[in-house]
Amino acid sequence: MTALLAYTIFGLVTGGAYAVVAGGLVLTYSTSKVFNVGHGAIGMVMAFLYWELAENRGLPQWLALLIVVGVCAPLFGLLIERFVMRRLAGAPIGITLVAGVGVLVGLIGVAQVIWPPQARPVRPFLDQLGVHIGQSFVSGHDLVTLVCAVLVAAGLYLLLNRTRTGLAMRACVDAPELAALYGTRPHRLSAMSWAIGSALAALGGILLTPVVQLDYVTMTLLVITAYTAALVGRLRSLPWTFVGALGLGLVQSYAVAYLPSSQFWISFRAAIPALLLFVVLLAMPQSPLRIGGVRGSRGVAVPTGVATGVGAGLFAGVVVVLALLVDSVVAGQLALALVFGIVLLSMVLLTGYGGVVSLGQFTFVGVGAVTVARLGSTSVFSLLLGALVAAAVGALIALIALRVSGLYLALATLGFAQLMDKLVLQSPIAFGVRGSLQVPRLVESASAQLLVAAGVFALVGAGVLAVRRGRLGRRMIAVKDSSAACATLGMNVRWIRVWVFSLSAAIAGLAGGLFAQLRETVAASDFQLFNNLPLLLFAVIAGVTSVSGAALGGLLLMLLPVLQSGFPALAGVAVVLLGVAAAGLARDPNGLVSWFFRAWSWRRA
Amino acid sequence: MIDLSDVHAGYGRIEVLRGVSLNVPRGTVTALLGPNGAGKSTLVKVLSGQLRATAGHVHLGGVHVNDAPPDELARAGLCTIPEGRAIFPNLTVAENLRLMRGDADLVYARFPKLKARHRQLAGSMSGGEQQMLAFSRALITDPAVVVIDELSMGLAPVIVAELYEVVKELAAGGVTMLIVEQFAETASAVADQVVVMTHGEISEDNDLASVYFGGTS
Amino acid sequence: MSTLLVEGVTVRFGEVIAVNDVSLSVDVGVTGLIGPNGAGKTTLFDVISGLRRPSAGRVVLDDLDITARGPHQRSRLGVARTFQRLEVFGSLTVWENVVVALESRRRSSRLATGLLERVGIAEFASNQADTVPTGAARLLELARALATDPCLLLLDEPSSGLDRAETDAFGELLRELVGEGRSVVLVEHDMDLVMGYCDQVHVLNLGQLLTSGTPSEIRAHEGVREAYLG
Repeated sequence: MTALLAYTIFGLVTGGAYAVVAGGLVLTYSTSKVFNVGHGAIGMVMAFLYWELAENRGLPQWLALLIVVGVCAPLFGLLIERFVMRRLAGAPIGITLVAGVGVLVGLIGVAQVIWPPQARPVRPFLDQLGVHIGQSFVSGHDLVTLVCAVLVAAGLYLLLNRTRTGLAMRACVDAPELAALYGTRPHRLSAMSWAIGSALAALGGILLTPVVQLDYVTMTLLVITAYTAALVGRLRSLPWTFVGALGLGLVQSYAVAYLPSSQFWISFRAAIPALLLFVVLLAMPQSPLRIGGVRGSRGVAVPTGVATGVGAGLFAGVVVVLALLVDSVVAGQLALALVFGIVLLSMVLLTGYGGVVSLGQFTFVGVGAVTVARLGSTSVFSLLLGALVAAAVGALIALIALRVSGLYLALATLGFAQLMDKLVLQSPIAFGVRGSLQVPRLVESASAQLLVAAGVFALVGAGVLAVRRGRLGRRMIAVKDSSAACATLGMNVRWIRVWVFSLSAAIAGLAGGLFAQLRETVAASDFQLFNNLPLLLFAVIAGVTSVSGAALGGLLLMLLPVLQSGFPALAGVAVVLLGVAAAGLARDPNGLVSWFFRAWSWRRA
Repeated sequence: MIDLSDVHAGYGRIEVLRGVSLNVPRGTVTALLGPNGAGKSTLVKVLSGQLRATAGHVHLGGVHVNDAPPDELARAGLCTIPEGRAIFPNLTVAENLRLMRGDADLVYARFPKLKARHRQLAGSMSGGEQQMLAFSRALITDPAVVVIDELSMGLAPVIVAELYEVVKELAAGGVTMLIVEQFAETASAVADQVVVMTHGEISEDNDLASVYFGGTS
Repeated sequence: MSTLLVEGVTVRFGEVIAVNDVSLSVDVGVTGLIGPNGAGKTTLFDVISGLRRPSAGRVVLDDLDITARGPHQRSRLGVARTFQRLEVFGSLTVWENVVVALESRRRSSRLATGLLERVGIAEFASNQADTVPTGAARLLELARALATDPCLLLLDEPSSGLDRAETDAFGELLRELVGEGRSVVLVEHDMDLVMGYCDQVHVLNLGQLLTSGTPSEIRAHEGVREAYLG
């Protein structure tokens, strides 16, 4: 009985911290309609800043907390709102997501530059205090967390229900255009919500540091837990978000207490937020077919069959010359770039043409890699089998997740990625107890690898273009522009989406197999959940609507780790630049390559 | 007071308003009528600052407002009641009124039904009650100019009559008004000026029956 | 030959009743569905084409109850529609828009050019669909609906955005379509078109069926004039 009480209290404490983070997320989303994927990253950077002030510079804890939560975080929120998010008003969901990912990746870069990796212990608040309840001990820090959660809940309630500003914020959630006709200042409200949202991210981050340790990625991804809580409130309702956060904290705490501690169940516990994310999404009503208004987007021109052939020929020529000229290290790196390029081709199909934003595409790469690695021998057959397994997983996730659309679908793919990460890719099921597997190469020399990667890239690229020109491509784009019209013309919209999703997963899986045999050793650490985010970022920056964009993106993806190992500080700066570029480029999904082609930018008719 | 000269506007490359000129003198009521798709709502959007004119000039009270955002115009005394239910459905009736920054008691005196429902969510009321609530803004915010899009759309005649009573009162109080209707002789009855719009232009032909039923009636 | 029956259809949005217990029938020929804005015409189209489930009532096509069927299943039974707020595929060309519809019914894409010529927008064939004028986009939706070879065609304000000559050409096209044995339901504000081409007219007002009759009966009906002119 006392154990139950103790675990309940722990659950409420963790849930309280989640609630603080999730509350900020809901506030910013509902007033600005931009879902901030970088919310957790703001909390992370602010927690680092708190460490700097309180531990490194020796300021009193309360003063450091006040400076970070009361001054730095709100200011930062204001800056983000003013210079990134305000420019995205009314933009499609994929674009706001990419801007958020840009902020996220940029912030991680900033943190890595300012605070290079090392252990950074953070003292809990009121560590000399604490209460015994029965046999369990509730620390001072736990009490502070609970008090903060209650204060935040009360503060947000008062703000939204008792003040004019809060009333105007709620009005904006309901009908933003009408609110403007009422004379409320939309930018001021949105700026305020970003300031408060950032402050809450900072507070939540700092409260969680003694629990999760200061780490760039862990804290950033902790936000998935906040998404789940926010989704319980449908991203609108703060009370339900708090209920969701506390519920999540309790479930996690009870899972620690009462589930067996075998390897599988340990992975399972870590996957609980993602599992609940799925449950919540499945409980949502099927999103209706949108009716009304012409949608259209201008992609880069699709080359004809002949032009594709000529392009592929030129590409082959260049690659053959390169294979003869460069040394084996560079050849290997170029092969890797092309393999990444194939992954990005899968996103050209899914995101560029199909309009579906996936935050879990790298997971399919992992599935393909594991399949080939587990088969133990590398052949064309095993590579294709890898693609097939990835396609099957893709079809499965599509069947579950495609009942929702837009932002919810993107979050579902991220939830799926986390689920696969915890339950499969990071567990011994995938890469064995040692966490890595040996894979024989398809061809031995690096230049031969380059030729193989180039051949597959050319084939898949031509295939993607053929799909675009053909029946399936027209259908995909028709579904993206108007699913309602598609349905009334006799198309089964759902099956078209499932088909596209699995095809895209198959391409990613094929790339995964190539990656595995190129590397010779693949490990769980190659397929971490976080890798999904830069993937989307590079895809969009380079150009997610064209094959050449995929090639350029692959090259950039290959260069980043090279830069990181050679010049760590420079890599951090590069990452920041990427974040800035994403935020700036986000309005043009045709990306950098479209600048080269001087193509028309994204427009709304 | 409201002065449009040769205004063009549209969505993307599709032009909806093709050179509209319209003048509503201070303290008068103009009824703007016309069939669906004529561009009436687009005109309202241009006036309220929600859509920028691609050519031409928009003046309100003598001030050039082509580039003014909607919230600024609203604070300067333009009360636009857009088409549909122009209320916040998930706020209570009382909260809707608080957002208007006016004397709620005036509204309650005028529409007792709203007083009885002041703690109810506005979206849960009937269409007529929602329109009364939306219309309240013209009543209590002391606007200089009122623009109403499709005042009587989907409402029972009794309620339309009740709302037009308020229109008359406001007109008597010297408020400049532009009332957009699809089908309404009621609107023509209170208006100092009736303007008919077809195909994105002001029509020369002001005979309503001929616009709707063709030359045959 | 196709007969549509709408029986006691009611659609509620929260407390608001958009369509209230409407029953009507549609036979071969042109049936007009008229009424002031907000009368529930488009909502009724959504119910018939399967995009919206009614809160109560049934939709019956040729003695088959299709109330529970999805929009794509109804399309296969021969129901097609256009939209009041345009739903063309803006990223595709005009020609591709029609091809998509042809392919969805496994018909040859070579028919596309003929369909575009038939509605009179062949000149726009290679333009991206979100760049064509409203009138052409409406005709494109018509061509796209015809590409599914429908027996019941629901047209939501097809003439808005058309000039006089185009409207007349559209009227002639209506006659041809009926001659091919199709049933057409027309939501329309152009009364010349309604009075000149419809065999039967249903009038909706405030979500309810006000009256039904031939065009001349409707023109003489006191309640209709009142609903329109207030």
